[in-house]
Amino acid sequence: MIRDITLGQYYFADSTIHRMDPRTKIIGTFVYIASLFICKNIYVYAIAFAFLMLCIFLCKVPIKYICRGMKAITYILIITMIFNMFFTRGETVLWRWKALVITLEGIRNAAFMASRLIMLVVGCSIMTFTTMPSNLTDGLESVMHPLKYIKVPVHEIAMMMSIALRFIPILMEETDKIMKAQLARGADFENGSIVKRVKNYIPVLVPLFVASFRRANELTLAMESRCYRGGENRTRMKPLKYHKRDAAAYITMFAYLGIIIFLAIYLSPKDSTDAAALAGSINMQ
Amino acid sequence: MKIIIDHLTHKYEKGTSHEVVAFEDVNIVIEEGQFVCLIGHTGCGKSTLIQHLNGILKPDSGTIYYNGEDIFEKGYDLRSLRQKVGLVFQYPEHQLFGETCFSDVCYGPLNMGLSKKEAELRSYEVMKLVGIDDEIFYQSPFNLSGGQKRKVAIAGILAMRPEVLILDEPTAGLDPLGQKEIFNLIKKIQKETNLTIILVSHSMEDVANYADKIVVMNHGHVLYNDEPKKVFAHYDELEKIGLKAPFASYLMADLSKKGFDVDTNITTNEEAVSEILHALGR
Repeated sequence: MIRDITLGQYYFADSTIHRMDPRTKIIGTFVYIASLFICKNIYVYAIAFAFLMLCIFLCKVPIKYICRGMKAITYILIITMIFNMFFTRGETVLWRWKALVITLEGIRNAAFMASRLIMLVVGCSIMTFTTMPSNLTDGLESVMHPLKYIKVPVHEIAMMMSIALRFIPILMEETDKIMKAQLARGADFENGSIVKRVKNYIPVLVPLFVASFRRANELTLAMESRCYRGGENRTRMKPLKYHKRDAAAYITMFAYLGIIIFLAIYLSPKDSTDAAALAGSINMQ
Repeated sequence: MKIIIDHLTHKYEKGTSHEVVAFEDVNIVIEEGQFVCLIGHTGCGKSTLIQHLNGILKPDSGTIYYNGEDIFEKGYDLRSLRQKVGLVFQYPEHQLFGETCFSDVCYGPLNMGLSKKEAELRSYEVMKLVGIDDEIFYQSPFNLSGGQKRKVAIAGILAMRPEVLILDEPTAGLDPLGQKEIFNLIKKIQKETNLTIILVSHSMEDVANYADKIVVMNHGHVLYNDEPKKVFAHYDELEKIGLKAPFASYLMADLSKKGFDVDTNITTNEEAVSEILHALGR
């Protein structure tokens, strides 16, 4: 039932991107997100898209599998598109019905927003598809390490994240089992009004909470009995190490960022007209 | 009432790179009033199989007939099937949620649309049947011992008055005394209610005494489907797949090798005792 959600899960494969250091992938993802927000032009978008396709090709995760993950954001996507379509003011009116107006600019905006959102989610999911949760939190801890000097409990945050991530599949499995057990007792999760349906979930939530508290309790005991005491002077069994492929990845991604920034500046006259149109629309209101 | 499992196949994660066959081409017929034991090693597909019997899981091919009706046909009333085919899952922790044991047992009957009074009457009846003391009635189910929790879970299913009772490893994680208690309870339930019972287990010893029929599964296939004595005669093959025949079967086989004139088809300890006494001429 809930197993169908593939977004954010690890996909087992052996590829260059899978073998990269998690820090490279985290920084790479941030660079990519930043580049998406710099883009305002279709050519720049094309480059960002090409870069994304390159990553998908390199990480060996089937495109079908990635697309299945997109199902989770369908509604956000549709809502974003509708809002952008109807609430963008512009000059070229294509269709009008009472207060509803669709303009060429609106459609363009909606398309831009949707593709930005899709590329954003796919970009982030490549990181989670190719990095095991434990490596991901190790990488995050190391990337956030400088924050320690302003008293951010980096290790504790990373530890909490890795525990939380570790427990997601366990809790999903447990929810599945509990739902089946209650279905066997005649529970109905599909019919009835919203209030009734929420009420019908109580028999699932109570055992789930009880189990979570029990697990949390057992985990603390297990950690305490191994003398866990936070990040101070803690060493790692598998320290993170950069390899040649990471250097190559850094060079590629900064070259990519450079090109994007260059193009964004070079093509900026286009931006100023956009800004003028925006200013005009504000005046109109 | 008759269950026919017809060429049933189930696969996990179908269409992905990690497709796993849970079981394949399973054919079993279960008659009314029978006590059937489903045996197999962990991961052989037995738990997945029984979740098809009340329509919680859907097969990839094949079907199940309950009373001559195809339960996976469109429009078949699965909710009323789940009331008729009661399934007790392995861990009672997955189903107990009520504030008191009594209210928890009432959950099933209330879901069937019975009045509160009728539901409580039924619950009281089955809680007496499974042997839950009055003082536990209004305790939280979370404070009970493992064996008691299991009894409450079984009562929760019995309160719906099913025609078939399926138990998934009802003794897993219990101490020997608790295991014996649950087995005696199951026997008592069968005697007093005449239910069809399907028991999932991986211990031959437990089921030898009770079963009318034993179905042995291995790697998603049915290996044997016969009465206990005939199944246990294959104890060599059973051992190869990591299962054991009851102690009495081994004892009788060894005795007959040593030259004693004993019946090697014996499976229970009681029979073994009388057979040995007989062989010794007493």
